[in-house]
Amino acid sequence: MNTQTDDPVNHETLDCTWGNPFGLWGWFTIVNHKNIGIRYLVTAFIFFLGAGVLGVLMRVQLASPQNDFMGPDFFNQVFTVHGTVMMFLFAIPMVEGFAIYLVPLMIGTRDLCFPRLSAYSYYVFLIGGIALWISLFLGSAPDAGWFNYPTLALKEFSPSHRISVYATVISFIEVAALAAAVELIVTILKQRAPGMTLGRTSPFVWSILVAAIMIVFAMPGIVVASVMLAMDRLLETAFFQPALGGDVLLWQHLFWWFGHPEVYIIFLPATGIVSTIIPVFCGRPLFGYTAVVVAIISTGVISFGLWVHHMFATGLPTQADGFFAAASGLVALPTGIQFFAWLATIWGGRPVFKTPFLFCFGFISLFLIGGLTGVMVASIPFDLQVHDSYFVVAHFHYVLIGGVVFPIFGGIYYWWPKFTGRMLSERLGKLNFWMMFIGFNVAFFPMHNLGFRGMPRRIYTYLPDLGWDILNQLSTWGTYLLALGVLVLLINIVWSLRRGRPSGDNPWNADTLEWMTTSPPANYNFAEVPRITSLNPVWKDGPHPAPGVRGLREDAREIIITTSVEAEPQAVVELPGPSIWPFILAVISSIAFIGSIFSPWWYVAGFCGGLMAAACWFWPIKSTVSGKVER
Amino acid sequence: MLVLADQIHCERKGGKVSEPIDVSQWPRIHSGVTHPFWWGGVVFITIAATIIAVFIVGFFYLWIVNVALDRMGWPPAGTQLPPALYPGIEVLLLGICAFTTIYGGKYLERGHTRIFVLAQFLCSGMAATSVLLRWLQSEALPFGLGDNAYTSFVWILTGYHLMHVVAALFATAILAWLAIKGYINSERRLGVDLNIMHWKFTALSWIPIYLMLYWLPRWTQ
Repeated sequence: MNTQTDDPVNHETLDCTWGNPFGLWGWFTIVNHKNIGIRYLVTAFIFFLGAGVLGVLMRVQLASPQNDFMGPDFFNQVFTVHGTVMMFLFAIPMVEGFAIYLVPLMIGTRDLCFPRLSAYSYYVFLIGGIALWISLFLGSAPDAGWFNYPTLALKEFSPSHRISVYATVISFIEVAALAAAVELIVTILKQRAPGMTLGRTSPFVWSILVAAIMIVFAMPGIVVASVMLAMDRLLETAFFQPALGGDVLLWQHLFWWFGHPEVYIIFLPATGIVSTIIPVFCGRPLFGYTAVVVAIISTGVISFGLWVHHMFATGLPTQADGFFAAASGLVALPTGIQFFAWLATIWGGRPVFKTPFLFCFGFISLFLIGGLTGVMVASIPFDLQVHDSYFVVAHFHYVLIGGVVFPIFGGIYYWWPKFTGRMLSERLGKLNFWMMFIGFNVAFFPMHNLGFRGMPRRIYTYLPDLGWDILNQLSTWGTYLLALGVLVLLINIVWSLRRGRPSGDNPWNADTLEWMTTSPPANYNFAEVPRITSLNPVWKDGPHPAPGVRGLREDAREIIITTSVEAEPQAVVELPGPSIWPFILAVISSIAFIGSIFSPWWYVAGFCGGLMAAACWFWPIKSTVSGKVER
Repeated sequence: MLVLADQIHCERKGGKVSEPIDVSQWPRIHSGVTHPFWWGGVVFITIAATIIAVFIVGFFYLWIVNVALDRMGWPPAGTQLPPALYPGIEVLLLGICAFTTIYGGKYLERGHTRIFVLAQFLCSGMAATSVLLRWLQSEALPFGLGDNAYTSFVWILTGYHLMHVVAALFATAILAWLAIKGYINSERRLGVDLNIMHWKFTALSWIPIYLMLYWLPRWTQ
């Protein structure tokens, strides 16, 4: 939707410049953020479906006492892969997929700052994810839970390659998350459209910025821990060997240094989605924008002071436990601020109960329950009672499905027209929501009670007459309904792609910048990089935005750089184009990491090969265009 | 630019602006602190530094656990401490690497490509010597990887840092080659900026690692 009447832009040239190569070879060279974002979203969603199937299988097994649907060995692999995939291969990549697709559109630029790094990040994620799934089909999947505690994870007690798969694949996948975080941070700080001060930046972009910064500081914890564990297993180092001066709790500290912020790394973007959707369907700006942004930032900071609340049962000093219990209660405050901002927005608006809004509504109610049980387990005596019980399983599923999956589904319904130019069916959407909402509560609410009745998590079966049978059956039926609800989304997607009504450019009358361009957007995003004068640019400027940036070359991938706070125009730079080298480097990296399950020399070889590939990636080539040298 | 400033002032007040920003005559930048690559470099260095910080925290955690809980002491009793001479020389060599790249970069900025190339060669030589010393040092260590947790830390931290030295050496050599071939000049020196940043990190990060692994155990025993 180019709204300039005196259109000075040659769309054809721009489209060609920012376009993608064709063919199979071309597929591996694409760097455009929209393609990479869609790949991230589709791949992460497929992993989500796979891990969901594993969840259903677990519920089938637990539907009745002494069931022999699967044995303990396979059950251990199934719950470990379920958790690992959901956390590492679905939640983070899914929100990063949204971010990679949407952030450039929401801040008014034409691509991420390091397009090739986006591509590299995706291939690493894809290869790492496939490797983990293959390990399950080969019967060699990790089986010590998604947090993989030593001593169980040490070679002495887990001699096969299963835990080595975890240690190396997790380190490898985190490379993808870190790479995406780097470019999201820099893109948000340096490429916002002129006039988009930090105070006019949407809450979703804020949430991505904070989550990406959290990734930078949190992920090294799991990377270091995984490397140590891999070395303990492969090279017989002694980091987690108490008899040699090591300590098993070191793993827990490092893991949860990453693991607790991880919850907020995926939760904050989910709140960003909610803060984007609710105002649109209430027809008014977000209430308390500044307070919401402050809440996002403070949640990010406080989340680094919570990790020990996962370790209350390990016998740490009481004072330390007390500090972390207090901090765990403290994090409820900024989250509460966001809650009240959403409620006030709904209260002061005219809510329209379309599917995206329904999912946000579901999020508010479900996360409220998860948040409140979170405050309960922040209390040390209570935590010691329910530790490792099904109460905890119920709690974190309310937090993660209620707090993350529901907003993600809302986001899919909301941005689907932007991705495809077509609408999803509202009728199927509402069916989807209610099946998931009811199914989820039937599946997970009884688990609170199961926990109180003493059912430990991660058991593959149980004896009859413990009073657990009916609640487990109920939970399994709820899971079926939840899974069918997800199936309705798939049906809706297929229906929309075939027969969906064309959406137009802004079907929701939304306010944020991504709706100022066409749906789906052209390769170049914006024919003219816009100038921003408001937090709600589409509502304020409508179809007649302020004149934007002109004079960027149409035959080169030029973008405008702005200052990090005030977004004042600063310079023009040219972005690199398609390249095969990110894919090649990802393959070499995967050989290095996955090979190191078997021998450290694979890592050495991969490191050397990686240096060569990186040199080729960055090697400048001389261009004949205007005598300029281009990458 | 004055008109632009007025417009931005108008935008800040939420007012409408009528003139587009015309950047057709703006210089296209290929390096410097404004460039996103420079910012990306800062974030990558932050990640690398955080990884070292996590290792260091792990080291002190085990120190505290072993001493406070009266387990094995730190380093665990009977551990022979590693010789400190070669890694001490490396502090100097890596510092020289950082300085030569910094000053090489400054000369490149002024258009003295030949001096830049010489600086890259000097840096590469120092870095290669550092790698050689690291190798000799590992040969001379009086313990193996898995003797105890302290010795494991010596190996993993020096090994991780060695990866940075090798990567920086490789990049420095490539940059020298690119400068000789005319790909790099006073305006196009993005890789040079990043390499300087990396060398600063590599040289500086070795100092706490060196003190922690080689001297703190001596001072506290």
